[in-house]
Amino acid sequence: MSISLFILISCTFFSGCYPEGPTYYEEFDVVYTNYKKDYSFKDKKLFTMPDKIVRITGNIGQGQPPVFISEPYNTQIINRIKSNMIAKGYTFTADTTIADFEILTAAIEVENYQVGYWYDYYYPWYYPGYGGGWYYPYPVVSSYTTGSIGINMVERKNTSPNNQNAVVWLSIINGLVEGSNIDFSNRIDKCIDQAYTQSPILNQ
Amino acid sequence: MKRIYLIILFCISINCVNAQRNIFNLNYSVAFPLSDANDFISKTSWRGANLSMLHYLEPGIAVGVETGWNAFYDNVGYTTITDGTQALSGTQYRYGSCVPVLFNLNYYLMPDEVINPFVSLGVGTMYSRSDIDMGMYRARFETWHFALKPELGLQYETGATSGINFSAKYFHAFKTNELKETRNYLSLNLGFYWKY
Repeated sequence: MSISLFILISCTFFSGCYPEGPTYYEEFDVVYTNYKKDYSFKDKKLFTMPDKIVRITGNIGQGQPPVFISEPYNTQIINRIKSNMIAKGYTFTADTTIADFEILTAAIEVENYQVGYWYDYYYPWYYPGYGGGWYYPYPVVSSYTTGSIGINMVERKNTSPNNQNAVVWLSIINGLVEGSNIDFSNRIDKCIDQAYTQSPILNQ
Repeated sequence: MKRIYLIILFCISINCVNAQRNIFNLNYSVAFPLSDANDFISKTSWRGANLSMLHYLEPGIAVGVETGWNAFYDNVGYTTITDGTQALSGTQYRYGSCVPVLFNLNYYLMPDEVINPFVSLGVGTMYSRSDIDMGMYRARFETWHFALKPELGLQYETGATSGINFSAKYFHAFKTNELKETRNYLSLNLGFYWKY
């Protein structure tokens, strides 16, 4: 009797205290930023950026045109980056020859698959006289899509001897490409804002 | 099924004939993280259990082994971690598990009384696993610590060979090369003992 009571109490405690994990899509969002060490952003206020965001598909051949992400997300992301840059004290210019920085943005989507095995149990009363048991396991396939947005702030004026421009600040935003359109748009805005919030180095 | 009960009853009867030379303890455990473990996860753990098997060298002294498990968890919320020029933000969940494996020396102060206080010292190792989940990523730190465990407790005899345990254990798991943090915690334990 005491063992049964102990098991009952244990099950109650253990089931009630099972640790939680992420519940909402936004809880899977992460924002990473990094910048060039010892680089000074002061007094370099002009930035430019293309009006299209490249979508990295991984299957474009040499010489083929790039693929861009669809609207309304393209314009939404560009406008959000611009507004954050302006809030930090920068000025947008369409003239790439006078800009101190160019903001290059790219996005990627990855489909992830998981294969698990599921077991069904049959109770003794299903087949009287045979007792309970397990059915053969069968595979269950689930999938989820993850997406990343990479924002690169490239210095335009000081090119290296081999004509390459240095990335002086970058952000990678990663999360699940799931949920309603409104929720997804809000999450994108929130993550772009966070990238600039956690980068006080950009303040003019 | 009836036959199984009869066999169990028979085994118990045989044991009752002999003097009880061994004791088995099974406890439910609540743990309070301390020092570095508290910095990692400050929440009380309500998930834990431990068991021990000891052999009486004489009525008031027993030696044996102990193991158990205490699981810690905390939803830290949305946080930003910075490291040099890098910063990472996201909703952070933390999980910790501690599994001690110890050799115990128990000293019972009043072995012939209904209420029998005892002190115990355990020496051995503790496996600890500390997980930090952020987004779809997990950072895991696993290690084996050298561990010590002083314990104070009470046994309350409810039958000739069984009773109730209550004890407080302090686990001190030292820093390791892999994890430069201690995994110390205080646990309160309530359960049963059987002598056989």
